[in-house]
Amino acid sequence: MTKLKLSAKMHIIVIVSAVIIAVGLAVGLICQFCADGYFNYGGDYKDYQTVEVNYTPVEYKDKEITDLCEKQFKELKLSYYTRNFIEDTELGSTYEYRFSKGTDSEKLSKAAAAIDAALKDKDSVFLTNASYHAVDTVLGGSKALVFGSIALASAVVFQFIYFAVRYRLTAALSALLADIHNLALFVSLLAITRIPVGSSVFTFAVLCVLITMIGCCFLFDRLRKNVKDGEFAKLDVFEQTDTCAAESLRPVVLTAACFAAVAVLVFVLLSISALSVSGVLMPVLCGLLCAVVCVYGTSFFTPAVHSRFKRIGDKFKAEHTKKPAKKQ
Amino acid sequence: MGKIKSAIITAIIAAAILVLAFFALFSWPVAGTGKVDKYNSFASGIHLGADITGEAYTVLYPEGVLSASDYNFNMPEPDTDDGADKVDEYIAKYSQCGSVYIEKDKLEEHGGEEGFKAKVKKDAEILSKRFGQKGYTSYSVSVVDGFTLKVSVPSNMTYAAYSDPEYNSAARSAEQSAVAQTVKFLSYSGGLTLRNSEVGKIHDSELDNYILTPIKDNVNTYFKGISKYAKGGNYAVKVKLTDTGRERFKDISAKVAAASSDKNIGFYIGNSQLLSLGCESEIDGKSFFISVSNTADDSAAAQEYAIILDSVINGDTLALDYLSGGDPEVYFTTPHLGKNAPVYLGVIILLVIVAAIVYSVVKYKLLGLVNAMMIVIYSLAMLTAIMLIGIQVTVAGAFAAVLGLALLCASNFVLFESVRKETKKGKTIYSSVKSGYKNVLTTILDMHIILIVVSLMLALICVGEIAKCGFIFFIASIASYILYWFTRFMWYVISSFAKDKFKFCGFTREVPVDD
Repeated sequence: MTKLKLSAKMHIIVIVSAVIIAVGLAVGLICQFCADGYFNYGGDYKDYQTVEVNYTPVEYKDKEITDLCEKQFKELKLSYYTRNFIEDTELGSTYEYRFSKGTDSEKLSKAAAAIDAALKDKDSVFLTNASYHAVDTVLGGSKALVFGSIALASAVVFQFIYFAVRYRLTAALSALLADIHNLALFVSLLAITRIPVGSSVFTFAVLCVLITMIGCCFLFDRLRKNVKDGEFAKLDVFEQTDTCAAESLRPVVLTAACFAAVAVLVFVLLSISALSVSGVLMPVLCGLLCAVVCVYGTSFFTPAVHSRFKRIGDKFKAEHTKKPAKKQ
Repeated sequence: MGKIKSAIITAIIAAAILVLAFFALFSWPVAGTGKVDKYNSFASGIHLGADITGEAYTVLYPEGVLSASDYNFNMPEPDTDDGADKVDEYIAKYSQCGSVYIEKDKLEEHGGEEGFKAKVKKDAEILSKRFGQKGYTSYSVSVVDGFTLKVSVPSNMTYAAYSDPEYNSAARSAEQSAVAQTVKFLSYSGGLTLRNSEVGKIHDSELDNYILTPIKDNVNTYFKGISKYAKGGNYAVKVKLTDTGRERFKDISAKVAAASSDKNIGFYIGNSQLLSLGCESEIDGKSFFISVSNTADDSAAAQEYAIILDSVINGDTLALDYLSGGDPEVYFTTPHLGKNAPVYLGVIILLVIVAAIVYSVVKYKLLGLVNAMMIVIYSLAMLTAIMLIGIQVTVAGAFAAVLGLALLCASNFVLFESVRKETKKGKTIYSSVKSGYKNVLTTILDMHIILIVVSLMLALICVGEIAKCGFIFFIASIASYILYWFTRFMWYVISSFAKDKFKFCGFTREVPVDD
């Protein structure tokens, strides 16, 4: 742990990050123009299609309805991504099966007609019916996204000012770069992996920045404290940064690991609750990506970059403190 | 500290925790009410988001549009005398467009199928903007089959109302009515007019009142902006006027104030009166307030009035009438995460708490118990704060609270490690604790300052779920920092019982070798 030589390998780290970001940008742009958008937007942002089944609980049991629907969908090779149950409507109860926009609408209409016919065999009341609908969702999250981005930018600016005051300008610059790097990496990995992006992704982006800020606090605080030690101050800038990076690696990894562990726990238990893996898996994968990016960005990229900044800063400081001495 | 003093303090704090935990976690029928009234715990009184308790949704049908079910239901009986003719007339009146039936007159009026669809789409965008200002943790406005609108918002139910629908039917129907009211207000179509039943420029025979402004005037130019205003538990709508508006209001308010019986300026959206401004004298100012009272929820009503009025004065008027069929009917759906999602989420949070307690006890022995006490206090404090402030909790919000718990544990673990390092230098426990705290003081302070400010920024600048998460994390960060210092106090109090302070903390004292 103490033999990490991150500073000397900055070029490798920068190349890795640049490649991931470039690939993400390329994949995103290609998908933007040739497929379904820069990101693979999840169910909560996408247009979708539904098959709605209204029935009277007096005539039908819930299980009869779900079995009938599952049978029809299986026959027509249709797979839905979520099922909603609506109780006590004026029509009795309703099951709403949601399908992605790309699903064959003719097949869905056929399935709805077949379910409708099967239902009416038993109960000819008009309250029992099945119908197909196409739903175009108006993106309501744009305002949240705009204000969220403003808040995130303000938070990053605040962190920059705070670090510049509390630590040094070089630390503030490194922290700023760490935030931007981690966010860019997270966004690029989302574009590459095509994990469906839902409303929860912005929450993870915020968490990504928060964990980075915590990690930077650990790193720069260590650096500030260690520099007070005479022996440590005599070390080369690279060695100083590497030592502090190694010392702060544990708390950073622990923070991200705790976060990842909670994400996995959420996945396991909510999958059991939802009786489906698909609805829960994607946000949790986002969370895991976020944790990985935070550890890599904060513990590997930031020290490597900071050592350069620090060297430049120290050199600048040395030059500007030497000059008056020469005049004397 | 003496052992007796320490025992008393520990007992008082433990009792306080137990009492708070009892009220926070357990619900029971209130004695003496024949089990009619029920005390709902703090936990079951927290409002939950759409991902945990499901959505409330309504389908808005524009005037002249019927669903297939309604079309069949309204079909005249063919068995009566002129039944066959009525059936023919009824069938001829409507045109089937996909899954809905539309009156042919209306279809023609709005430019055929495509024109109708375009208007519905435009209205969906306006409605989406209006609902966006409500600050829901999640919501959606969708166009269904091109001709109807589906609005989904969180059901905002508490666990008590969600888990026991029959017992808490009043709470459920209150939420249902609140959503219906919101949808109704925000779906008003038409432009803004100012009216009075006695004085005015133009008489409206349909509503039997007068429009107060000249026909050539665009009323929207009178207003700079309309917003919700709250002070001391009273709610109002604040109307800011332009120079033109100020002059015009001075004129019309003077006329209305001079009227014999009706001294009110009615704010109408289309044909519906939204607000009434009482005028006892002339209004001459850059802004004025219209108070909102006697509604089920004055705060929500003031917000909704402000949203709809602000939307209309900015030119966002709905082209179609969605309320011709009466008030919207609201239905609840089961959450996407399953019917038992709140229970599972509770189990997850409980497991995280137990894991944190077990880890700290295993690693730091009795000192871990001090940390465990802080974890319990943190959990109860968060539960109480969220319930009292009325924050709607989603899975992301619960995550923010858990992150706060991680912050508290991380702060304490960093501190404990720092103290352990000091003990290895051969110091006494009191000296080690003092130095340990001093060593990590700035790290912990910096971390908390940054997180408190950032979460406050998220809470104040963002909207929707992120704002709620930011607010939860803001409370969590403050709680974490207070409890971090409370840890030191409790450490001092509880360790008074222990003979071997090092053993109490799970540390081993290194005795320096004397050269």
